[in-house]
Amino acid sequence: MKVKNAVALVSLLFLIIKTDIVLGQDEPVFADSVSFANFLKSQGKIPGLQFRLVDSSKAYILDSALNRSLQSGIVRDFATALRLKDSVLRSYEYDLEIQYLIYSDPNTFKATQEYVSNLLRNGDIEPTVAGDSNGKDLISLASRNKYSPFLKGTYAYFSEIKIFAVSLVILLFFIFAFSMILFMLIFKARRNQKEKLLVLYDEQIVAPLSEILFEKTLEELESLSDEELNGYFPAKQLKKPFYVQVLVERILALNKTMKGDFKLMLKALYKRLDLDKSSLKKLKSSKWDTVVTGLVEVNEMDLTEAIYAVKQHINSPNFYVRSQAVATILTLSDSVDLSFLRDQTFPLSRWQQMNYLRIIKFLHTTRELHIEMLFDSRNQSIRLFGYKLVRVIGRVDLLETLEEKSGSVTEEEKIEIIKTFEYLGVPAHTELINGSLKSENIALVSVAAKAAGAIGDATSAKIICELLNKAPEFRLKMVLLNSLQNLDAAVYNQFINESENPEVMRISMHLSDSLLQDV
Amino acid sequence: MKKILIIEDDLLISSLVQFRLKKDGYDTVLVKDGNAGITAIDTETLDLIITDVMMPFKNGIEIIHHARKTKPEVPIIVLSSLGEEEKIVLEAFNLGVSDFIPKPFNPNELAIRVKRILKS
Amino acid sequence: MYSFLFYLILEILGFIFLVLSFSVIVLYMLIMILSAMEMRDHRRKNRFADYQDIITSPLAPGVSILAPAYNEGESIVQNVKSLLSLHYGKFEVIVINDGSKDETLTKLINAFELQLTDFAYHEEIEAKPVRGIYKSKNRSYNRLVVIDKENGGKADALNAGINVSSKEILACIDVDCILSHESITRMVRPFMEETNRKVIAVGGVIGIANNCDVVDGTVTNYRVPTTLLGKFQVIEYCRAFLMGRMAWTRINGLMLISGAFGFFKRDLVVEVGGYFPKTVGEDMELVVRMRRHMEERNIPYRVSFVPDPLCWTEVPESEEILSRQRNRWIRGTIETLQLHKVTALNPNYGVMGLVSYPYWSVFEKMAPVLELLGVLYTITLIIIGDFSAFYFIALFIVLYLLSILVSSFSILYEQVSYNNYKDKKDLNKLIVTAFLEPLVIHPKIVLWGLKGHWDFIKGKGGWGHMIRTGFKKSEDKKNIEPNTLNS
Repeated sequence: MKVKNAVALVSLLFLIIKTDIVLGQDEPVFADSVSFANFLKSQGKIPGLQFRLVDSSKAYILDSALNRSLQSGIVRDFATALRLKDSVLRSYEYDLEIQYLIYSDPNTFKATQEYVSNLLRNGDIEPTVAGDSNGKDLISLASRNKYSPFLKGTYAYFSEIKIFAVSLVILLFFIFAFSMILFMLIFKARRNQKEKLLVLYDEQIVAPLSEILFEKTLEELESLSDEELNGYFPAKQLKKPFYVQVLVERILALNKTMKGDFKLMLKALYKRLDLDKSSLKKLKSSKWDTVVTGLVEVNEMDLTEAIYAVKQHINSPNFYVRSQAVATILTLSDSVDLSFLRDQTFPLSRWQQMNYLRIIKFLHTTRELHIEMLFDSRNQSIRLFGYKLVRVIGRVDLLETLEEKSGSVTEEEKIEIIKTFEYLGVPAHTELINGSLKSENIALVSVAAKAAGAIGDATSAKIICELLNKAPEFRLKMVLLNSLQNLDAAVYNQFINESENPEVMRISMHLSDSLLQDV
Repeated sequence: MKKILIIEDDLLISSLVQFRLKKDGYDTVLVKDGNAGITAIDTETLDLIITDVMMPFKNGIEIIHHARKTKPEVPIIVLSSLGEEEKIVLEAFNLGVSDFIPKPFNPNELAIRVKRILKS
Repeated sequence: MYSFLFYLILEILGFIFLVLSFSVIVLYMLIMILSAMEMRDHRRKNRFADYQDIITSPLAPGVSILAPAYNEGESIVQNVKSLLSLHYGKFEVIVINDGSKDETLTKLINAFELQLTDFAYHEEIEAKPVRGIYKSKNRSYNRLVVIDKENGGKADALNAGINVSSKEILACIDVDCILSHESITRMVRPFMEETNRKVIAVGGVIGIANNCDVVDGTVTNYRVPTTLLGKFQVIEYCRAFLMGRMAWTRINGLMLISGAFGFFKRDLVVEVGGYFPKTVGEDMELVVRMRRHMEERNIPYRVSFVPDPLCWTEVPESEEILSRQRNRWIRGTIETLQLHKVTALNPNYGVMGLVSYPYWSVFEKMAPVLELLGVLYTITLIIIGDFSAFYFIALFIVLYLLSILVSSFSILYEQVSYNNYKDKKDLNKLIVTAFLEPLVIHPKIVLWGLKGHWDFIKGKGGWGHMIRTGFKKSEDKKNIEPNTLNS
């Protein structure tokens, strides 16, 4: 992929290098002649501008040699001209004047000032400040100079804000990034340390666990004194939260892989170590993952006393808390009253259905379940789950109730009910299927048609033929033909033979290809 | 003393099994992944192999294959979680493993079966 | 007067760069925070998930794996075998031979005892003609379906595969990808967790398999690639998958699911007309079109992302191939954005229109152009003498460090969440790469991106006009198809 951090790099780069541009107007650039003279002194060479010393008043009688050298003595910067003037004054005592030449034409001081002002306004020359004595950098000088900006105010103002904002952002970013990286490094170090501790604790836990499990009886375990217990699991260690966490996880894991007496032993140990109390405390946590961890512990260790606390969570807005709470209640409660499931308000995802199904499937073998209760839920997803349960658990006895319901349910529910009928293969109830075949809903028709193939009757076959004559959509046509073949081979063959539709021919070939069965 | 190789990625389970088998007077070698299992089969003198099916690097089936090929005389017990595909169970039996113990399991029961296999 | 205009333009450019840089920095902060939050949540959720159950549950959805193959004769048999051994209950593997010129088909036929069937192929989505559909006589290859069709490109091959597929979920993959055994169970989970918002697609992480050890279809030992380009791509993939896409998922603005590993709801893909074969960015284009479809119907939905390492691929380490890949990526981005320009800044398209689309336009599509402008800008400044070397160097260092920070953050991120590169040496190599990247590799990437822009402007691929017009509605793809296919 192309997340380009370096856009930042390059574009940032080019942004601040360009510092400031000032566009002048026809306002006087120099406040007075003194400031102009000072400017000339510090600026050095200016394009098109030259100076020479002349004796314009003819006050002195110059010797011809000096005069000639003065005539040709054109200098390009004002400071030199001044120095020259001084030295002539000192050595010859002539006070000469400086003549200003713009492109070799003599001009007045005023005109020269105008010329230089124009150059500055157009940006043809940049003011340089010799010595930079005030210690300010170029940018601040540029923005502090006397030109008034073209767009009143904004540019000069902006340039300072710009620098400020960018440095601020960069600074913030650095602080942020460094703290993130620091955080990550600490996090990683702590994790590495935890991993090391985990190995250590694992080793520390294995031996006492094995001894207790293999050498003690359940009674002995329950009557262990605190000292004896601390002989196995030191009190000092039991104060460390991470040690306790590892211990809990290991006991839970063992409980999953062990059978018979060992399960009872592990549960007794869990309670003897007061781990059940910490599980209960977790249920009250404000962090969802802690709550779920607590729920899992309650569930695995059969902490039936926690049922009331678990019930508080069955309508939690958090998906995982809610799912685990429901799963826990299902496993723990003796009565297995499904009314709490029926009254759930959140839609049931397939993930939750899968988990509940596994538990209910297991419970079903030992206890009597009133699945039909779910059919009355106000929550459609729960009703649908109820219908699925009937078929997965194989509650043929509930089919009659289902058929009664089917008259007044949504089409989505009809689909699920029909699937249940088909799965259980009870051929008595064809009214629902034949009715659904006439529906406008293609999904429903398709499911009904498929079911008709397995549990339909002569009427179904007749309706299917009618549907086929209405030139249905390809996939439906295929389902219809397949069902017809299963229902009544004679009618099917007749239909195929009479049909001249190339699609029908292709489908019939498909249906008779042994390689393509149950794709 | 009879030597038993235990290949199991969960250290806790293998340690428990080891503890239980030591009580019965067996010597045990613990390894926690398929590759180490293969090395152990090649280098150790073994009387029995107990292996898991789902493991890092090499799965149980590959280990059984390897053990059958190099040491056909060593009996194998497969220790495996339920819910794993029947296919694997069948494949394991076809390869001639001596026993198949599904998890959750009872270590005492495992010890009894080990004793029975090593006696015969 | 001219100089005035000239300076005004310079000033405006400066301002634009300011805004851009500002937003890039803010965005990076946001991306870091959002992705960290998403990753934390994902890790917590994963703690409580039992994936074993999905394999056998009757409630788990069926999955059709679609693997287009073009001239893959070398490795096709091994690749298909590993696909067939994925751990899942209800799935089929559909291999589409897209008119290969080598032995791809023959090898498949021989290895899997394939036979031509009378499959009633129905063109729900238009695709190049299918020559035959094969299945195996051997029951143990029961899950395999092979389609032989005329060459039409990857998108076209996938469309043919969709027509044959029968399961609820489509898994579109590159046939040469290495998939972990549990990849289906993990990727299917977001679909199964759907409650109020429809889950329309799920993307996955692509890992880099160059120089790694692969055993049983899973990368067992990670090593960084040997070349600089390879190492650079490791960092880039970390940035993209762990940071970028996690952050987009957090705000439900994910627009791109890699074509090498993406899962989609079949009914929805068919409803929007399948892949659009006239763009080189077919993977991104499909996701954007599916999102539009949902937005236009006002159905709540989400595009999910699973950051577990499940899929690996070999990335190109030669400059020539990489340059072509990047050229294609940028063209794919431009084309997709052009096709769906109606959604730009359009509040009717929610997060996609208001956030994702503008982001992609500026920071992905225009990135190379902006960087070029930046260079020209600097050169101009140097020429007119309005350039300060001091600032240039200071800023260059600052920004160089910035880039390194982001890269090292993403490397650390990988370390914290996966810790795949366990060897310290590997880590050091990656860090060195992070230092070299902005100087050595980045300019090339920009250049290749510019080439992509140029190729798009020249109308490479021949579909310039239609793509420039764009889709007025997400369904438009279906309407234009018949007239265009034969041309």
